[in-house]
Amino acid sequence: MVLDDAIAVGWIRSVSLDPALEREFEERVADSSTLAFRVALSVLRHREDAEDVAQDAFLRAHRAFASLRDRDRFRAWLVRTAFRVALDRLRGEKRRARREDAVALEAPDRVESVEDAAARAEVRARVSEAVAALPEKLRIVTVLAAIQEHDVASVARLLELPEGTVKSRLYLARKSLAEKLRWLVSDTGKR
Amino acid sequence: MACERYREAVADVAAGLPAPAGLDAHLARCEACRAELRVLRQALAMADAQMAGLLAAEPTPELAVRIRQAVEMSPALARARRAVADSNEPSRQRWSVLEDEAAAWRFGWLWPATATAATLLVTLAVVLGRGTLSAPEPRVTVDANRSQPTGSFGASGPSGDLVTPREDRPVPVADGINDVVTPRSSGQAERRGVRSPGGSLGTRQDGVPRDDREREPEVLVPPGEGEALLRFVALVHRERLAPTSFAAAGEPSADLAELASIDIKPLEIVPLDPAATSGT
Repeated sequence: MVLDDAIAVGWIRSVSLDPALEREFEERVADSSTLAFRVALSVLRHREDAEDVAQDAFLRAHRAFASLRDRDRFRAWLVRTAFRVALDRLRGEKRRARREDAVALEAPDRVESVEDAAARAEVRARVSEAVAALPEKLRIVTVLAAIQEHDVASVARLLELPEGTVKSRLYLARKSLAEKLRWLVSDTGKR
Repeated sequence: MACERYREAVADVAAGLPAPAGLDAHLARCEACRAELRVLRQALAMADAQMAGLLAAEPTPELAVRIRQAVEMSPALARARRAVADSNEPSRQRWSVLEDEAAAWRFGWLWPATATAATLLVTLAVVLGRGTLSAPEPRVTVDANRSQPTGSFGASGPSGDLVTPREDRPVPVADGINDVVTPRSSGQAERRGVRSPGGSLGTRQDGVPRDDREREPEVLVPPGEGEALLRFVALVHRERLAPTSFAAAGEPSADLAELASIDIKPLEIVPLDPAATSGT
């Protein structure tokens, strides 16, 4: 059975990458896997789950890589995908207890008392809850701002949004966080 | 009152907006608003620190390896690579993968299409065949033994030894008299074969009537009355007698004078023999 050459070649290209594309994809894995991992971690707060999500996001990116060759475009797509996949995973799985255990088991940088450790865990849990309670549009901006060290231009490129939009969303998110977390400062201040 | 007016402005400044006009002067005078701004800023600093601590985490070095392995093991990529490898060979093997995937996709429609065409042909043949069966001018023939019970159910009898009734020209057979069933001497009904208008016998080899025959009602005729009935039918048809003429009371109509020549025997009712039946 002989098929039309053009159809066959088109079919192959639709699911495969040529060597140049595969090299580019390797570069993207090298320079963006940490970004995908961190975005997923901001949602899931669990390392293994975050790595799973990052891997899943890259697999999806590989399938669409022919249209994602531009580096900025690829990273923007990857961030959105990792964030969305992580949210789906968080909603779909009942791993809250496991996450909380994992957070509690993280070793502190310095030796601290039991009280300090408990206070630190409390603050971390409340901050995570406050971030998780943000609307998704504000949440992703907040996470990316933390990852990119509050470089608004970088966040705008990752989200493919105007910088003004990013600033506005970031301000709304931070105002909301400040009001939700102010009681933590009062409590710690009393202590 | 001034504190209420600047409450939102204090939160905005804590979140990063520039201070509106008059806020700095108010903060210089108001310790409570300065404390509020300080608390909000500390809360945000705490959140930033926590998030920075979480998001500074590095993935394990194996993550990149895992991603590459996952991509390598991706079924779509594996298939594609096989296809590309095959396509680089001039031999017929280049199509091995395509025969598995693309060829099946492209030519898979042939089977259902062929089946559909065959079904349509069979349906057309059946419809045309029925049209022939229901021709308006069937030729009625009757088994020569029709008037003689054969005593064997299901036997096709001497189907080749058929005789036509006295009326030899084609007779349209009225509904209800295509099949003639005569009681057997044992009391069982015997289904007799009647040649179909198309010339084929109305029963199969095993004596079971064909489906197209079974759709039409049957007429029970006493033994020996089959020929008389057919003559009667031929007469009715030839004379174009109206059904009302049969319903008239009293003497038979003059149109039916010929009926006098037909020897109609009284109906003989033979009791059924339970031993010869299925018992139902």
